[in-house]
Amino acid sequence: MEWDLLFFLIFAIITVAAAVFVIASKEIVHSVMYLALTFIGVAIIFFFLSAEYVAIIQILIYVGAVSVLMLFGIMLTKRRLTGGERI
Amino acid sequence: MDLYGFTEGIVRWLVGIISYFVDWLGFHGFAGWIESPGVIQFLTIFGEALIVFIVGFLIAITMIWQERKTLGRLMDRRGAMVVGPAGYFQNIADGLKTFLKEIIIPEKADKKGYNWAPVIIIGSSVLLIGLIPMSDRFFICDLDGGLIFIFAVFSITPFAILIGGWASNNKYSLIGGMRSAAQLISYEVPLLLSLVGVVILTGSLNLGEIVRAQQESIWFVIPQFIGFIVFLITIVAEVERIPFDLPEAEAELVEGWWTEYGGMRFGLIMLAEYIRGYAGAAVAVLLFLGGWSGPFLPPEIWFLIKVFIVFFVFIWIRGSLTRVRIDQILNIGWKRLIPLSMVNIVIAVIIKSMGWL
Repeated sequence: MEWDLLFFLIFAIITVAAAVFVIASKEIVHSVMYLALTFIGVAIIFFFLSAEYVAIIQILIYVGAVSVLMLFGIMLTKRRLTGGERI
Repeated sequence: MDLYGFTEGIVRWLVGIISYFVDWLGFHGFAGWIESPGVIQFLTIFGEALIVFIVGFLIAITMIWQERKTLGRLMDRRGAMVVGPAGYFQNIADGLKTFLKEIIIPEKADKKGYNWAPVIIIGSSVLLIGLIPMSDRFFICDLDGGLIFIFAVFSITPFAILIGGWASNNKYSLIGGMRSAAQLISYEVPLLLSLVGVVILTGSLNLGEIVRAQQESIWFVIPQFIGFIVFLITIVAEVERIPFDLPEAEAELVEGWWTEYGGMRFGLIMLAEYIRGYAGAAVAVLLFLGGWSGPFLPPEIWFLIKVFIVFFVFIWIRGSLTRVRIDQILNIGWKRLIPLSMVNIVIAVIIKSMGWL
């Protein structure tokens, strides 16, 4: 078997599964975690397509900045800590 | 001989022995498969990663020891001195102790986030070891965008810190995570802008190319002095050491975002912090201090000497300065460091267009 194909399939399955979990998970912070995993998976697939620069910029911008800003936005809005008082 | 050739030799030798025994047992097909080029290549890359990981791990342990001793001297005491020569094995004893502790998960913590945040942090920190070339023969990957990739991997950690701080379900840890994100906004821009000068002078994002350009002309710390200072300040913020360790401010937030982490997780996060410290010092050496160039000694030794000197400066800063406030770090980042790094870019453009380097 081709090693490239095997690893491509593994990462593609991870990416698609994470993308499904973004929609399926109840907790919104979990959605953002899965979204970050999807971004990383897409970046790895870019590596397989030998588009190194796009992959690196994907990680730098989407995982490093966009996910953090999303989490920041979610956590700054009023919400309930699990089982705790409102903060 | 480079690292790949060295590892390939070892792997071929081991695989030869194994396939001889397997062949003797009668599994001829398996013995043939194990000696095929694909398997050899996979095992070689695996072995290479193992070697580089062990080296990085030892460097991180040495850095913890260096920090304890130097900080002790700065505070007029001796630091660790009982276990092993000059207290060197104290860290290993501490590490074993953290592994033996009970794993406690807070009852109302968000289990998924609580368990995954340290994995992301440790994984991304260990990935950093693999991205740093120690010389032109001791490296794993020689990417064209290696410099940007290092900072992309660096920037994953604040995300994990925010997740971990939120998932611990504790106000201190949540405030620590929030501070990490706010700090990210203030230091990331001047950090990446301070690299631009070096990239302009070199014309490449490849770390090997950058070091080669310095060997041909001059260490970039001289034409890019402002950039070096900005880089040093922001890399201290990036690896969250003392003047900028707002996410884990012991005096205000107990232990910041890792208040609820104990035992093995605490130990591994601690190790990951020092691995990030090593990576930050190594990038400073590669970009501004000539990388592995130096007379007489092997290049790897020169690289490590420079890294430990830069890390000594980090410890010195830690021993001398107090923590800045969260509004002060935003002021420093946006009002002081970004204009300075812009000036640095202008200097780099002038030097390049005049053809002085």
